[in-house]
Amino acid sequence: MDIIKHKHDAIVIGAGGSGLRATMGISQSDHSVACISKVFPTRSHTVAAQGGISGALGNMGEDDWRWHMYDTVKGSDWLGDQDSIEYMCKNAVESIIELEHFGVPFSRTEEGKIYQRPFGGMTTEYGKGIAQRTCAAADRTGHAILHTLYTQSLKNNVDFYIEYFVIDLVFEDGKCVGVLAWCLDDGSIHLFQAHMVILATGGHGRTYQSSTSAHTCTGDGNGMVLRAGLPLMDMEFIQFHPTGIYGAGCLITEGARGEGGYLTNSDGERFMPKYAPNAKDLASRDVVSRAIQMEVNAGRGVGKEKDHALLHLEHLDASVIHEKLPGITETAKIFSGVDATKEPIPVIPTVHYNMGGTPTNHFTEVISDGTGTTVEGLMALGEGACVSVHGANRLGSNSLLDLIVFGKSAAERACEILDNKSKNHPDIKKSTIDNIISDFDGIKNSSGDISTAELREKMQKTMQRYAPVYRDEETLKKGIEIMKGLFNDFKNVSVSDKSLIWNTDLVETLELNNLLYQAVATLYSAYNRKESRGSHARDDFPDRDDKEWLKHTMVKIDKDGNSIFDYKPVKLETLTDEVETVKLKARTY
Amino acid sequence: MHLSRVIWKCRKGIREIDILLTRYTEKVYPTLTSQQQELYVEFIDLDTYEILDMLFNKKPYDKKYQEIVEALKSFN
Ligand SMILES: Cc1cc2nc3c(=O)[nH]c(=O)nc-3n(C[C@H](O)[C@H](O)[C@H](O)COP(=O)(O)OP(=O)(O)OC[C@H]3O[C@@H](n4cnc5c(N)ncnc54)[C@H](O)[C@@H]3O)c2cc1C
Repeated sequence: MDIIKHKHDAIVIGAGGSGLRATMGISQSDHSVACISKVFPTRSHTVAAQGGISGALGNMGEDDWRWHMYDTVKGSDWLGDQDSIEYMCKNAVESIIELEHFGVPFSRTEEGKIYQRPFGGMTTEYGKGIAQRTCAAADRTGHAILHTLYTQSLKNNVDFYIEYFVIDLVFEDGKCVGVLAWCLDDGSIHLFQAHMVILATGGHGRTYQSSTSAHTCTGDGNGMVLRAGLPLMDMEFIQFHPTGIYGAGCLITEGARGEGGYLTNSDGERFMPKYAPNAKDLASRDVVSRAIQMEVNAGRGVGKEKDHALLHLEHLDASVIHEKLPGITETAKIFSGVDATKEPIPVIPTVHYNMGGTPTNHFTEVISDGTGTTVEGLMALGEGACVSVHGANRLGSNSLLDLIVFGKSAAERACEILDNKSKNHPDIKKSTIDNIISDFDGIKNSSGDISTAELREKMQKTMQRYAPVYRDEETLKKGIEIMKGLFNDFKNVSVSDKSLIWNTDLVETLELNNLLYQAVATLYSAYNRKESRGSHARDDFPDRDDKEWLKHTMVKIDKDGNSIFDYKPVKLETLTDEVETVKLKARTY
Repeated sequence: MHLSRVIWKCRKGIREIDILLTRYTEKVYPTLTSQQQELYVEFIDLDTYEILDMLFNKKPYDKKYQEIVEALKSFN
């Protein structure tokens, strides 16, 4: 097989908000940079972010980055590293103003300042007041950021390789020296050599049956990291929303229950009063998610698979629905074929954000163990990475901030490292490349008895059922058993199309391989952590246990789907003396 | 354009649109005339939110897409 070779100082894998910000930063230096993306940049998942990006600009009243830091640490249930969180919150203001200068059309106040709105968990004076800290470009913030960063990158002569699928990382003597990629359009295989490889491949929401993640969100970078024998961190932490539309994944706002909507099970019973006698259908997200899960587990789920619940709005006046809940009827109609003014909407707890991913230090350099040893030549950022600013639970609008702040600092760090490196690329052994190609060919030529779609569905249903919002030893153990079986079934997958040109069957199979690695990593990590913290809720260990578990999970997965654990202490010390450590206490709102 | 090429274009970054376009493309695209196929590809290449706005009737849009938009809206 002919391999086309490319050499750059740095390559960025991914053209979402994080990848583009890093690419743009490096492109402003003397170092050469290429950005590789499997989809056209503006089709990256960042486009879906609507709510906004947080930063203590103080445009709507007094604000302080220290208050933002406090909220983020508390939101993370103290699992977030305080050095990274300090860095993010302190640099938020500058990073957002920069975005404005690059051309992001933020919504404005009457005096022309960037308008800021309140968002859950964002407070002033360490929890006393409500902060207005989230900047938005109408309801299309992610879209505006992506388009602006892409335009800026084009101005700086970045080499974009679009609709190239990165297969695996290339290592030589423990150093990451490049990646191997497949051009989807003409079927050619490419070796991109670089002194710095920056992973920005996004989250892995598609391990679950119901998620808000776009089709691209298969966490490919995390799959590559695990195959390279490196660990992922905090994979057990996954944020759920209680009411995503069954089969579609779009969210129905809490407002629907606020206006009088209620949930029922297969007996037609309104079940929320059983779980929350006072708040009933207005209970908080976690309580509602748990109630739906309990009903399904008790065999009272609705539908053919008895795996979801129904949300009723049809008893409300159609005019109330249209006025108070604009867009909901259209959403339900177009995306699930339900007329919400006449019939209930099928809903299910839905994965919304992955806190875990490739572990890095606060410079976004990838680390390989609990003592923080860095991996030469490899950096990671964005939802696929775990730096960790979100800890056990992310606050809304902190994710876009994470992309932008660490995108900028990743570029700076990469340039610093590149300044001190020789410009000669090492020779890569033929056997190194041959091994990757032979795995790739193996998958391409596999002709077993299970289709990619079938295996993916089994994996997604297993995650939904056995690694749900509320977990316990028994379900997780069962989940691991099933998932290990599925992991090994991958050998029996059948790829029907053997060509290399627009072979979406093969792409989806490679993505499935990445998803399976992350699914087992998630299950093992959830089973292993015997406490409840943030989004990880164990019925059998309902309390947070700081004595035993104030540490990050690091897990490696071997070729047979077995786990190897290591731990990294949570960084409680701040980066500088400009702020004090946010001391441990119970997380109550 | 080849079906799998069009299916890749259905990845628009937003879950619900990805699902709707992919399902529709798999089922309906092969049955379209070549002229209709061309217009359909032009349509799915539009900006993600332009497509969303058309589906939700948020703004007036080019009449040539009307048939596609109506078909998508009633596809489920
Ligand atoms: C509905 C929704 C609304 C949200 N709203 C908000 C919000 O208001 N505020 C907020 O802060 N956060 C929000 N989030 C979260 C936020 O949007 C994401 O966490 C963030 O956009 C992730 O960005 P990213 O750069 O890490 O990855 P992505 O944007 O997912 O980009 C990943 C990139 O990697 C590329 N890639 C992946 N694998 C490969 C491969 N194998 N080869 C080549 N390229 C590859 C892809 O092509 C893509 O360009 C929201 C999420 C959802 C689902």
